[in-house]
Amino acid sequence: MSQRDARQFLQFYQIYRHKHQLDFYTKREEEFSHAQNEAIWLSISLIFLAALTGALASVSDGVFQLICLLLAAICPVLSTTLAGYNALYAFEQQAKIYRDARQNLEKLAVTLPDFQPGQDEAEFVQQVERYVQETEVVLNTERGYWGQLAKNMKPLET
Amino acid sequence: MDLFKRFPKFRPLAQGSEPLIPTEEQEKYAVFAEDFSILDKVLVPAYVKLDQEAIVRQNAYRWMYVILIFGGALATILGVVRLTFDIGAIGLAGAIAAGIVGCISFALRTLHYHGRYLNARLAAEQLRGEYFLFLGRVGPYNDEATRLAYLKNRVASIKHEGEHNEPA
Repeated sequence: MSQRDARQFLQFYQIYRHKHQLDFYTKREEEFSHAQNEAIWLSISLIFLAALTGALASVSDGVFQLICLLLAAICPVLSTTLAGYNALYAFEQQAKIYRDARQNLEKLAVTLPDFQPGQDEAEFVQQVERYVQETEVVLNTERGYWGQLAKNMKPLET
Repeated sequence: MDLFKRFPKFRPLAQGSEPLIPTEEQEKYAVFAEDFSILDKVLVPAYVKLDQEAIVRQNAYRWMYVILIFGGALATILGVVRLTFDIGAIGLAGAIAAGIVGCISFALRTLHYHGRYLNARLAAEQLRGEYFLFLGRVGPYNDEATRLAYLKNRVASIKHEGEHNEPA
């Protein structure tokens, strides 16, 4: 590959591989972190509601007491359902994998080859190759971790 | 809510699969026109097939588990309500929900959606990597005489792994 082709490829690779993956990891990390926080707050709210309705049931009577008792029984069921849903998507673990991959790609972005005037053509081509191989190692590693995690991404079976 | 953003869809392929590199973007890099053409013939069809299969299988897998999780909760809630109100129909609805959950639990163990989507997704992502290595003539693709044959072998081998129907 000539130095001109290597520069064109480097630009292409940077946009459609490095930046594309970086954007993907950043968005997923953000989305899954939010999802994890939402799951935690929703679960806390449901347990709190169960406790509140349980307490209200003991000091009330009639239809209101019945509704409180029902809610006190149903809310923990919904909280458990939410835990199962959370386990299916493994939001926390996925967010961590994407965060690690994003950080590694950001580190690599600093070492991006830059053609210097008077630099040997073969040396520049080698630099580009090394950069591509290092980026692919990061992506392969993320894929490996994701594959291991995804194998276990399911609620506990009874 | 981000919590339900990945909830399974009724038509998972409605948005179509994202192309590896859009044609109009390829045109900006005329120096690689010949390689783009080779990749479009040799690698892209396998990538699209595996990518779509991964999307469909993952969606089916998630549907089954979501129905299992929410169906189980529904059966329990109906049981609680049945204890409170003496209405036979509620008990019947609870029994139907429990029956459906039981069938899905059995299907999950026999259909291997999980392993299939994992294999297809990992293979599709591997093909995406090969796309750029071929284009950059990196590693084994550096040798002009053998790079096309090597690409064909890699695509065939990765595709075979991706179409493997047993659990990963």
